[in-house]
Amino acid sequence: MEQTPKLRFDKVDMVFFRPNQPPVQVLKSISFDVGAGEFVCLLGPSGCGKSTILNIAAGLIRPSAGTVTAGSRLVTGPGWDRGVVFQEYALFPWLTVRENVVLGAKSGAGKVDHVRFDHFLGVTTGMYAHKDKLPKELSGGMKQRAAIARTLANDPEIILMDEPFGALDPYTREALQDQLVEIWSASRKTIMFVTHSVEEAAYLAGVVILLKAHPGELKAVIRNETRWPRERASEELIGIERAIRRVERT
Amino acid sequence: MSSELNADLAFPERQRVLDFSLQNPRAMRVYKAFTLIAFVAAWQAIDLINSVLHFYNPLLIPSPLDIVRKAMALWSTGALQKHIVASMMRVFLGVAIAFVPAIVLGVGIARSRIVEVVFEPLIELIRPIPPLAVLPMFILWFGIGELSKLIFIAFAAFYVIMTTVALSAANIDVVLIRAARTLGIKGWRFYREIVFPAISPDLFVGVRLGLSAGFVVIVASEFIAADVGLGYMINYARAYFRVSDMFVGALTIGVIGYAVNLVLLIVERRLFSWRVNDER
Ligand SMILES: Nc1ncnc2c1ncn2[C@@H]1O[C@H](COP(=O)(O)OP(=O)(O)O)[C@@H](O)[C@H]1O
Ligand SMILES: [Mg+2]
Repeated sequence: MEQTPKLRFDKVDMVFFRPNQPPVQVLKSISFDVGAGEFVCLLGPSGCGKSTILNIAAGLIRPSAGTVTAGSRLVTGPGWDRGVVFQEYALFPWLTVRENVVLGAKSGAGKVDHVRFDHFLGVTTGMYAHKDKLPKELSGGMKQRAAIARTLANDPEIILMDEPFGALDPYTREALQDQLVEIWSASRKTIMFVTHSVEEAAYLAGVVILLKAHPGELKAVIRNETRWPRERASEELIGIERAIRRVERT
Repeated sequence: MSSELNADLAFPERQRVLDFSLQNPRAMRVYKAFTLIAFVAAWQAIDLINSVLHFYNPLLIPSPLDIVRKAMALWSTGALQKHIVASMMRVFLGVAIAFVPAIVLGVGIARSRIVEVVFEPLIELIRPIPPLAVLPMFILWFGIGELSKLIFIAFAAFYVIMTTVALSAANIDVVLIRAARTLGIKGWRFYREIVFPAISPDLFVGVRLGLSAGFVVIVASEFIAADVGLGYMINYARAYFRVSDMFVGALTIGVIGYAVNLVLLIVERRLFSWRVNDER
């Protein structure tokens, strides 16, 4: 536990300046650590700055103040070590599933390992049969599987996920949650997962980081020691949900 | 447009065969062809009446049959084909010259502040100038030969293509751009593998509009200094009072423009079938 964290936010502020409008402070002094191999959920109401935190971690936007460290390096831009899965899937519509998966990895070590890609598509995300389809031919769940495969193919150390299952129906969402847990426990990657669903956070997370809005501030960090395999709606998880909701109300 | 949509919803495929209403797009196509034929027939009829009553000079307005006969005569000597090829070559080459600069500047202005600040003011200043206004200058600078015509067409097409490209490149889905960045796609690869495919459907539309612009201005440049081309043919016919030739020239440009547009529309559908809203 005392080793260096995989991801560290240190007093991060984010202020957006907009033309002809007063600036808005979206994040205020956000500090937290994510340990190696942890599954962390960022939980909070819509508009509290979850996506902003994720984008800062990804290096897509720069914080107004404070520092973000990934491993031992300061985050100054996007990087290999941090893969992102977006709610909108963000598949390139002109490429097939397989080409999407290969695309990112090409910029990596320089060689394209086709065996590994098929492994990701097939074993890890169950998309092998659909590998030659275009994104428009896929359902939402399949699109997100493909996007996860693409992120995994880049072999990042940290996976940042922004409400990845938010647009899916409950059945697909649960199936994908379980698949993600399998991937996580097999690869022991570090995951930071944004959600506004208490149930989802309680089921998935080892650590829940609870945020409040206006401005976005850290409210509490709740540990969820429930052992895997977890059972949905079990006493233990409902207890965690209750604990989260109790803090939320304060 | 909306009436076609309604028709699709309201009528199953089988019933539509016998549906003669204006809601049926297939029936509409037949009706449209029919109205066109009716106009041509009326024109021919008026010409026939005029040959008896003489209420206008038939030399000024030839009949459709006269025009068709003239077109066939010009075709059989090979003259018409020669003019068509010359004009089309100029338009295609002119657009080809404009193609790369228009993409580079369009993407540049949309995606790079440096390119924007350097080039946009100049481009915006020149934009309102009708291409015809600069044609005499181009002739002084580049001579009365092919070069001035090609550059003139390139100039006209450049603005259309560049504007389409710039608009498209500025509106690429930000999530796709973010995904590309987090996947480590940057520099030249970013433009080649993300920006270019993302704008390609709009670029294609831009080229289609650029070709239209080319066909609009080609005639004027061939009026001024040329010895071949449909514009030359029209202008030459004016000097000798051959009105039928003028009609043939003008209608040929119309047919070419229509055909090129149609072919490109079909190619476009094939090429960009990956688009989500492609339901045709
Ligand atoms: N680029 C921006 N400019 C101005 N305001 C922004 C910008 N991005 C986000 N915001 C604002 O910041 C707040 C937090 O946004 P976001 O991080 O997307 O919240 P969440 O993901 O938790 O729903 C919102 O009120 C949003 O309007
Ligand atoms: Mg969000």
